[in-house]
Amino acid sequence: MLSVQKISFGFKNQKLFQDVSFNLEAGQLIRISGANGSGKSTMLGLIAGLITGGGGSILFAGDDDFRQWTSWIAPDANGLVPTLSATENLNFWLELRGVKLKVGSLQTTLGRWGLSGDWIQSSLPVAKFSTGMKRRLALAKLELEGSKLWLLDEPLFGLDDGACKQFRDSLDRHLSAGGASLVVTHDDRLLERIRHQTISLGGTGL
Amino acid sequence: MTLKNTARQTWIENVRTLFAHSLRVDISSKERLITPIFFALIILMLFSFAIPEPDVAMRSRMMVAESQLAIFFALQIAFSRTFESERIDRTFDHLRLSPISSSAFITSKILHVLFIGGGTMLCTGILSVILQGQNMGQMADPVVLGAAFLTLLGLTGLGVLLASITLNAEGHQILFPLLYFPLSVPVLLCSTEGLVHWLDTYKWDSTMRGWSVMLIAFDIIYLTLTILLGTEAVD
Repeated sequence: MLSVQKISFGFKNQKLFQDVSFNLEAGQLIRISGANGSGKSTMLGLIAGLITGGGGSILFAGDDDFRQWTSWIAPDANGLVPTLSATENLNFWLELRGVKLKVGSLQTTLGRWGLSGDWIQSSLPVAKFSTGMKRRLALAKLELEGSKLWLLDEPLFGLDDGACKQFRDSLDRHLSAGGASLVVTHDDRLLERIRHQTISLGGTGL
Repeated sequence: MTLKNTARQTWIENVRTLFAHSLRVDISSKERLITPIFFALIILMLFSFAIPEPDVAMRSRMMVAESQLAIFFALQIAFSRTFESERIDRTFDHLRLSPISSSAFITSKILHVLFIGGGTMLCTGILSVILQGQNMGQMADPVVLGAAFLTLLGLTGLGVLLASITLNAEGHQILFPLLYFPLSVPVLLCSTEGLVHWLDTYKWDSTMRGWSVMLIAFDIIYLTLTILLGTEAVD
């Protein structure tokens, strides 16, 4: 699904990581770990194409646009318009991906993520949501997009224990269904029961 | 859970979705819609106070000045907000990771600004008929409407181009007007001179043709550059 070969990145004379290589296959999860500032989010950004520069190659399987089957969770943001409601935000992102949902499935998914009721789903602007509610909405979006590859940067940010467990189950189902994921997290709760490999960035690469 | 390779939207669908989203964001914050209308109203009021009883010839010129000013300032507001919703909550990064065409993104922005500018023009026209007794026939003259549309098109192209180029530039709020004001002068000049000449003579002569051709040429240049460079900047 994804082949990363000898990627390096740094700022001026400061190398963040060097010659990192790995392959990510269907059903596989790789955790990128390391201390603060070791380049975990930067590596995810490089793979996603949000950051350019550095060396090495990043190859996605297939000839189609990788963005069609890749979803991304940012560490500190959810890509939500604060003046719009949860359903308006979700409908926009899903429509852009050409996702057609069955009637009621959006409401059901939001309900599963603790965002039940017409008022919360369709009337209340996202600006009024708590940090955790916004994250829940972003994770509901991730689920509904149905992408094969999940790039997750601190996905548990702001979530309570119940939502953490729910996302762990969701990630488990994603991998069982043949999806793959690259995860940056400092929170061990997410991966404690999920089989995964770890890439450690220690300032000098692997 | 089932994983699916989702069907990709066509270019037209991309534009439609992005344009509809921009309008939805505008409607969700009423202030965005009301501000340009208030601008138009203030401009009309200022002209009314400054020139209380204009003669017929002066009225025509006032109409040109009022509409140009209203479009210019309404577009200024629209440009400053062109990428505002994308700056929030890393929406722009999320868009970059969505399977959309960057030219569709830029096109939707052009349409959005045209919509705001067109709405402001319409409001200015209606209000000037109501408040100042402007001649409705003169307002609805095809040449006047055509010139106003071409002005709007040129300024929109230029504004979206500069907004996209300065999207991630430090101090873009200073950089934008510094670039926009001098580059918008040719469009405003062609449009104003052409309109004044038309309202004075109502003759489609060589002077009128000259200003029109220049206005169309600037429109084509700015819109082409917007599609080419704006797309590059977004990428």
